[in-house]
Amino acid sequence: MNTVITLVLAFIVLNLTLTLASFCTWFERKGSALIQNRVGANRAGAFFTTDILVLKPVFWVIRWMGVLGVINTLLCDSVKGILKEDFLPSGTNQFMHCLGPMLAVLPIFLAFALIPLAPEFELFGTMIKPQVANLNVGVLFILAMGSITVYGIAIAGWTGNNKYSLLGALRASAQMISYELAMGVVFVTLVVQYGTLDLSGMVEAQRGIWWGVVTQPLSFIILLIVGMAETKRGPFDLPESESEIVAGYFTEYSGMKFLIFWLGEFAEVALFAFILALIFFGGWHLPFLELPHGVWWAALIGHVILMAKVLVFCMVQIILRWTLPRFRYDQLMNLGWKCLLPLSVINLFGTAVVKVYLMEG
Amino acid sequence: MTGILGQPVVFSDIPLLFFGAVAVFMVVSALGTVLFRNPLYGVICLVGNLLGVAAMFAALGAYFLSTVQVAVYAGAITVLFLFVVMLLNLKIEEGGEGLAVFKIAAIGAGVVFVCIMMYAYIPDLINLPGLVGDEGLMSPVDGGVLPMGRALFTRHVFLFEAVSAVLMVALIASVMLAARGTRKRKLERQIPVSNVQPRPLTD
Repeated sequence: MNTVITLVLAFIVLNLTLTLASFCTWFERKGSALIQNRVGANRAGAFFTTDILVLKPVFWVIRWMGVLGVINTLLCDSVKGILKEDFLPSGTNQFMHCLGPMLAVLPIFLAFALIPLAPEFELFGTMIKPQVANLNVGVLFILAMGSITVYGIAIAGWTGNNKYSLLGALRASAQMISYELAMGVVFVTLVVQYGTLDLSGMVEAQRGIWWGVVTQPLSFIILLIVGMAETKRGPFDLPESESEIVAGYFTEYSGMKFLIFWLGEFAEVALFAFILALIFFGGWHLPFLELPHGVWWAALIGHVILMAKVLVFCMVQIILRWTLPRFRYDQLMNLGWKCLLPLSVINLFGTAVVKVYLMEG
Repeated sequence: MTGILGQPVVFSDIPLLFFGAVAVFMVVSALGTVLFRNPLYGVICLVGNLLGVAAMFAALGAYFLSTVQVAVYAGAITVLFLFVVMLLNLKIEEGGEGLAVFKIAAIGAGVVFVCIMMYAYIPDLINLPGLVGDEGLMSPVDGGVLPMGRALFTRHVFLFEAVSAVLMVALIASVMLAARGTRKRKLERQIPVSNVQPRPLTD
């Protein structure tokens, strides 16, 4: 029975991840068009008509999806990615060339196994915790998986066998290592704050108005910035800055392998949206709304609340990415090492002192 | 050592197939680390080996150790190796005459390491209070964070601090070695802005 539940949950979580990544892809294309005062993708599928009466509502839906750019950004682009020639740069190793995109995506998907989707509930007499792996190390596992993706990027840049890919990979790995430190310290601060490593335990610790963003505002700001830097997007997209180094570490990738890097990037955006919603914005809690514990419909409402927050944070990250100009590399390093890391350490010490001497003493 | 169910954990508690697969993977990747001539492949094999160790920890129920193994060793330290290998663009190592000394030294170090490991394990095998065996590293609550922190900050606090001091010394020494003389050279090589003549716009 437990195996079946885990398999079903894994299926749901995988599809949820892919759906959220698709949503981010679509919103990136269409939202950036809105921000830049363009129209954006609106043609593919927009003129589908039929004479068969039964199919008319279906074609109406297709037309609207075409106008909104869904068909163009999701369907056409992925079909194009699959059908395009997948070439290999000369003088490189095919195994390593394939390993790059795999290692860039797989850890992100693994990290989703630790994300609780809703509060615990009871169904058919069994208590179900909607979380694929119950590893009781919570946020640390996400940190570990995030650090593994660096290998994917580094290998991808190295197998590109030219200096622009290599420069992009070096920039990416330096950036990710630097910002991971601040992220680790913030996670430790949150563990001190909530007294648990478990993500659902952290959510349960934020009942009422005591959301993480109220008790740990500095951690929230640091983690938002670090999240933007870890996804290598937004003002931190130096590893792929097109004006200097072509496309950075994925210069030599084409077809579906190239799209897999994008999939990983958007999955990481969704992962950070989940983390922010779960540990700073109360997860499935709303202030002044007390749902009964362990009932399936309450869990469903909680899930909807959580997903609404996640979508908001996906959109916030994408809007920030299209609003802010790119940093210079020395500014990026100064921000990471001289600003965020000391701030997060001070925050950790402050939290520890408050916890030990004021709340328990 | 006590496991999840309070029973002492021995290696036979890990599913044999899992243990065999991971062990073979670990041995192969460890051999790859030292045998590959291309340093980048060596680093990748080292990462594989560290992930294998993490998988063993996880199979024993020590999830915290396993995660820290991935986050710290595979995720931070070996990335630095990879970084250095890529940055220096190391060429494939040719077997030189200096390597024989290193080989003998490496074999000697390996023998010493095996002896130390045996010394640590033998008291455990014959049921004496051994050198290994901090209780509860594999506890189900919080993946053994609490007992591990207790062990580190009480019983092993001196060793813990000594190791951090050694690491600090090594860090400062490597920075000093790397930076020796470079700063002065760099300053001499730079062309002052005032010496650069702007090109006339009309040619």
